[in-house]
Amino acid sequence: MQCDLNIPFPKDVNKESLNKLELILHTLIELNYTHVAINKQLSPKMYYIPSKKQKQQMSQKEIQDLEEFDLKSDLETYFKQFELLEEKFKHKQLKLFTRVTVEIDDPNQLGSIFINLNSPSAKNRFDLVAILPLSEKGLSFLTNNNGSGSNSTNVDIVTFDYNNYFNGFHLKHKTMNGITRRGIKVEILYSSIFNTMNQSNLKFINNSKQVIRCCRKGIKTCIISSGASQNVHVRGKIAIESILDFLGLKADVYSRMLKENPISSLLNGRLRVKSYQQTIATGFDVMMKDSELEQKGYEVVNGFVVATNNINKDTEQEPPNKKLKK
Amino acid sequence: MNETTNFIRENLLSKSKSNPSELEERVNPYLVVAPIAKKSAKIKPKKYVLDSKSSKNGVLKHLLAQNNYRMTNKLTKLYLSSFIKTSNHSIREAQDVLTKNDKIKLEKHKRYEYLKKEKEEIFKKIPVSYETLYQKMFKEMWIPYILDALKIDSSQDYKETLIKLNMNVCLNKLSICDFNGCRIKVIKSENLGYLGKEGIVLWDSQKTFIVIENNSVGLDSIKILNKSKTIFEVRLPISKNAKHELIFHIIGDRLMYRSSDRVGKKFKNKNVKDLMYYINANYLFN
Repeated sequence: MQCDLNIPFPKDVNKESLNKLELILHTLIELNYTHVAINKQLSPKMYYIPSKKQKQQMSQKEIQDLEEFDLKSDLETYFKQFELLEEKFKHKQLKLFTRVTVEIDDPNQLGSIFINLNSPSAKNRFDLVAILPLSEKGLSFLTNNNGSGSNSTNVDIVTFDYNNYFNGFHLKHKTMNGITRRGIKVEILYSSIFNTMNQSNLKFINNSKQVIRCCRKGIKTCIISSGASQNVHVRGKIAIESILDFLGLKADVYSRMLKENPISSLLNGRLRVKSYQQTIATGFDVMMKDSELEQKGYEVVNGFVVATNNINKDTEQEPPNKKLKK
Repeated sequence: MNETTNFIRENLLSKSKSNPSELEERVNPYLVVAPIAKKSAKIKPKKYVLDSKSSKNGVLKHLLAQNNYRMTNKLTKLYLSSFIKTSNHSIREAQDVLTKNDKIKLEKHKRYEYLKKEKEEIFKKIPVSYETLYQKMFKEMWIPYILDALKIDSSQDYKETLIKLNMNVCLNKLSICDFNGCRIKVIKSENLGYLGKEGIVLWDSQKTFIVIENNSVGLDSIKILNKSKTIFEVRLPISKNAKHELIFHIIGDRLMYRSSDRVGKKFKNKNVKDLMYYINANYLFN
């Protein structure tokens, strides 16, 4: 079992970009990966809804850009393409999951986006919800417990932008321990080590060292995944271990970062969708999707899982058996 | 001896204590090395026994004064363990009676009938059989109660009724509802001995389910199933003749409350590190 929880979904949906995504998934199969999540990234421009006073201060170009973009239709296209991908990789060992990452610059701009993404009444719900803080205010969204911060219990993963320096904020033990104690995992993206533009491979080493330092060497907190947009940037198990060794980690951490820590974050996200506050769950298995359940003979109606029995036939066959015994 | 010591012994010390030789040691100018006295043996914790003589109404007085959750827990433990011990003891007695009279190879309902007719004293001590509980508690009481709570009509077609329902509201109601009389089955647990055990719930305590288990060979017996690190399956029949069933899972670690305390409870998501057994272990080894 190996996990890769970050394969970015292309921003412009074309034939070429979708073919690239399929190529990445085919290479992942050859490298013995089993659990893969496809990532939809939301920037603050996509979800920001300004009030009337704020609109007066903005220029006309910015307002036009905001009105042109429609979040609902954009998410619908994502789910459509995801279903098509699921059908293609049905008979292979790969299990696909949905994931969304929300970039946070200012928590006041968020509005009701987390309620919309996580609401039980929504048709399609994301299996994993991640957060990408762009400033120190964005990171404090997780630690605060008042108002919109109460939604922070619904977050599974925290990621960072490894291509650039963390502008203006410095990670501390206190804040990161408070986050990880609740079961939220911290992600490291290794694909930027192959990118030589703007010295991003050097910045990756600096940033990841900083993350590992304040997460207590990542034994129970960190997960590693590729943010690869090309199939060349994906690596296998042994190559990832050499990268982690290069960052100064010990051998007992390698398998935890690839297997156990990402699986626990998947379980956390999957229980949020399938159960009521982790008390009572529906279905035969939490990790199984609806299409897999239908293959095994179960029926799925409106989220409920129905099993059909042939009890009547068995009871009719029982009496003749008893006569034979006598 | 001097005169002064004689005077002290006869006149002064003898008045203060009966045996003056003990006190003489104090007067001795030399230092006496004596072994330290042994520590008194540890006082064993009192075993509370339910007796009608020592208390009123079978409840100890000093326990009633401290009306804590811990104390009620202790009392229920006492009562349930004594009930289970006596019932299991009487089952062994009844089985001995059956083997002596060559009745153990009879069918199950005939064994109970034989005991009811001929050995009434033993029959009163034995717990009720699985089949009668399945009829009276599960079919006639629990299923109508839970279908009423979830607003499911068993007479109509099951697909039409399920589309109208909201799944999250149903799960919320199930987490509050009463599980006494429900049939449960262990699906996953850290303790491999529990796997596949099923029965009808007699009592839903804080940390355990107390269950009657079906036994086709002998007489039915009572078992205790721990809630911690186990997952139970509940199957709810919705159509006639139990042809179609809904499947739910109870996660035992998060449901560690009595059914009466669960009503006003606000459940919250917690860290998942103790629930790793929920995923198939085959994943982790490959």
